[in-house]
Amino acid sequence: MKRLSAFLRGVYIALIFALLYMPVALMIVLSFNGSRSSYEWGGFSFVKYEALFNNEIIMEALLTTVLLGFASAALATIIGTLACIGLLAMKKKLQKTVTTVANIPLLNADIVTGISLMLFFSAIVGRMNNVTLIASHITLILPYVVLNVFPKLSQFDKSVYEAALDLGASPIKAFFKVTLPDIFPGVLTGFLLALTISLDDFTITYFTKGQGINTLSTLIYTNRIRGILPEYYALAALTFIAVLFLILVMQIVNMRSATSGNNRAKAQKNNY
Amino acid sequence: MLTNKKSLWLSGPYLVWIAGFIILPLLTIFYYAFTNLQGGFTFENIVGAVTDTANIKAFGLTLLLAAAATLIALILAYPLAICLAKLGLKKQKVFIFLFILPMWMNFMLQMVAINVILEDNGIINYLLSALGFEKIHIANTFGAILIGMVYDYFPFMLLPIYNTVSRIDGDLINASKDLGAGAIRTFFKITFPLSFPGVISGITMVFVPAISDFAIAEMLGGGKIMLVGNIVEMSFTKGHYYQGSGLALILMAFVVISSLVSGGDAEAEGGAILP
Amino acid sequence: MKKIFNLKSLLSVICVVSILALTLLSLTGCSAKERLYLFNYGDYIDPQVYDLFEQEYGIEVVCDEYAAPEDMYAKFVSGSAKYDLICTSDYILEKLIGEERLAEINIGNLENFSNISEKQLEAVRAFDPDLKYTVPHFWGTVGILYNTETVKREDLKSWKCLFDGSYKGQIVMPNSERDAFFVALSVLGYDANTTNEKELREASELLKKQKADVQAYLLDEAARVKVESENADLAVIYNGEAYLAFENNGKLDFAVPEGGTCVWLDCFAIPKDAVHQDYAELFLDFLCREDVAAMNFDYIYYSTPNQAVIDALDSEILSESAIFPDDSTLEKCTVLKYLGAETEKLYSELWKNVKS
Repeated sequence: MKRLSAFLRGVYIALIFALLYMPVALMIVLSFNGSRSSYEWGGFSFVKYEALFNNEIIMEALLTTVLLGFASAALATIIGTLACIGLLAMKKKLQKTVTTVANIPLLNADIVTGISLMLFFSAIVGRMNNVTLIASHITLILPYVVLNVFPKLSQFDKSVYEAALDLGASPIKAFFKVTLPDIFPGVLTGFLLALTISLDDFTITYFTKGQGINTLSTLIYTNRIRGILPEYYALAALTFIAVLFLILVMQIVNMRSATSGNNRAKAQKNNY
Repeated sequence: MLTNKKSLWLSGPYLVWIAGFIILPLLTIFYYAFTNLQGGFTFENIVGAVTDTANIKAFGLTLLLAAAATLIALILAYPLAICLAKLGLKKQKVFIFLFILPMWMNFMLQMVAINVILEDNGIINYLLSALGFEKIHIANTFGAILIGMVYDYFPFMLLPIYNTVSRIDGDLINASKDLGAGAIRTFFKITFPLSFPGVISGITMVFVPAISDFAIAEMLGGGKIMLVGNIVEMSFTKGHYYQGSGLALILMAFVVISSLVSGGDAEAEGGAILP
Repeated sequence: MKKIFNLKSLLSVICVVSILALTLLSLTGCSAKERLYLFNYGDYIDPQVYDLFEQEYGIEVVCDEYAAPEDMYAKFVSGSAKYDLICTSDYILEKLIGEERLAEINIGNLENFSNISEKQLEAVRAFDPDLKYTVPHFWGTVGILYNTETVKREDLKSWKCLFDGSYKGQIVMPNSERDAFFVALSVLGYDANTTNEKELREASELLKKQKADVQAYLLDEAARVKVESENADLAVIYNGEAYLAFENNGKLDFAVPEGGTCVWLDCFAIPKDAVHQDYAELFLDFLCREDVAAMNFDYIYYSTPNQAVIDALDSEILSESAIFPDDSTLEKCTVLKYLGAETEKLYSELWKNVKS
């Protein structure tokens, strides 16, 4: 009976797993398909990869997507980490109010956020450009940075920082030498998460990009009228691998910080 | 720096950001929603948004679709969360990671992949006809959008439920069984109530993006199905900013109501998309 | 493990990459390269033409694409993006000219303008009487692309076959309000340029009823691909797509209903607030050049207004009625006109109703 239910559980997990991975697996397999068809096998081939790397428009969009991701994630991480220090010094009530407002883009529908930014930018600067695009992305991802950094910072033992100050370190030096190493896992996951969200975004970009610029998402969307291009298969396979890598790094950072946290907790327990 | 009141200044850029890129843009939407073409104050855009027959129909369709997507995701995700929670700890971590991963493949490419599968001459129909069945027509229908939504939002449902289910103390369940409760009774008396916060959080996290979507409907619906998001998007691409803003406000009201139901726990949302 | 996550090195890598990204991204907006911003229908110019232009003149053409002309108008008017050159359809151009949003083109600067056929210039005069604002790109008609194995040619004598339920679930209709309404209006026997509200409402009712039989609302290439891949049996489509479809699938054919169809003309125009009118004129002249126009023609096979290209074509292509409609077809064609703000508003309301 017990074995049977364990077996059934395994079957269910496998079933959902298969459904979830079917589209991904399909894209990867078909990326090596020599024929254009989605179900006839035309022999193993790299033509789709060749087509992808020769397609200037897609490559440019890919570059834009990555640059945009890094630029906005970096700025958001800086603003967000500084913000956490300030937030910690605030009274609880004020802190709560500020973070609630800051989390609006997280809760709100993306389409409303996108439109509000578009209307706002057209009112103040007229037309969209790369700066409006980066600013919009930062708005979208800033809450994720704060949500990752803030808990780490509030766990941070202030006395260590104060000790550094007492030993004559300047506040900035003390921050970089003492505080940052301790909260770094939070900062890094915040950065990576922000990056992933920026890379994946469609709606915000769609409404706030200027002329002559496309990210992968908006390019595929405008190209939807052309049906499915062969390049997409190769693109899907490659982005999947890139994302696998990103999330894996995030996981490892997370787990490492979790185990070090556990060890500390254990050590404290032993003291009692 | 950390204890000093001066460190308040460090959140300066953040506060300016919030004011400049969250509050002001939202006020701009409000301004447009309550202004007519001549620049005067009006309720017309709001009233129009909820009385226009096309909009009412779109609202009905959107709510139906979002509810269906949420329900299906819940039905699929809940048993999965329980199954996963019964695995060994190490295995759990790996599997959760694997179940979240496909979500991060570029969203548009996901839609492309689903289209490849669902098309009239796509994989499903190829398999069906190879096995001697009738072809089914699902591309560009309500069903296609539903599949796309469930696929895209599934992890949002799975994670919060898993997070609560995996934290349920095994002793509680054993105690319940020791006291003579059957598996079903234990589920309804112990497991389900304890996982309830996760279920609510999952429902919000699927329902909110589902009612405001326009891209999935556009990519998988063949331009035949107009959700509220599509009408909002269309209003803006066709240049009807005032009406569009009115409708966007109504949409936002729906979002606010749905997140209030779950207590608007943004931190759960932000955290939950990470395994 | 410790090595990989060495804080200092990781931090510096992230910083360097991010700063690099930021500078690169801000530079692309204002790079030293000269740029011409073009707003066009999707896939309407051979990408190699851009490369050639850049080679010869050192100016990079950056093209944004739109699907329906109404979208292009809205984005253009909103000012959220600025273009040096736009390409769009006759009735929208008529509206833009009427609203004085276009700059006068110095036709004298365009050496190759004389390649444009007199016949098409005559068509341009319908909305641009002094030939001051526009340069034709392609023209064509609307017809039905169909699969000869599943659709009977004689059914296609009239647009009615799209509404009588005989091809349920197999129809692709254009995702553009004027084109879709044109079909319904001609079935009802009304003028394609009617401003009569009752007639338009009747047409919208007809389209709404038809929706159950429609598989998808798509434009251009997407509609073509649906029929090519045999996911749909017939599509209302611009004639230019037909020839490519024949090349990709031998079972297809193209028909224009006998009751007549509409003829359209897409032209380039320069917005009044263009930053680089000079580049735009340079590019227009380039596009009119025989070899360049021929490249574009070979790329999409829409009917070209370039007489020099036509003269050089072999008779086989010239006799292909899907590319060059014969005079008897053209005689029965209507040109879509701009109908005024009020009717336009009604149109978008009715279209929204049809689609939702």
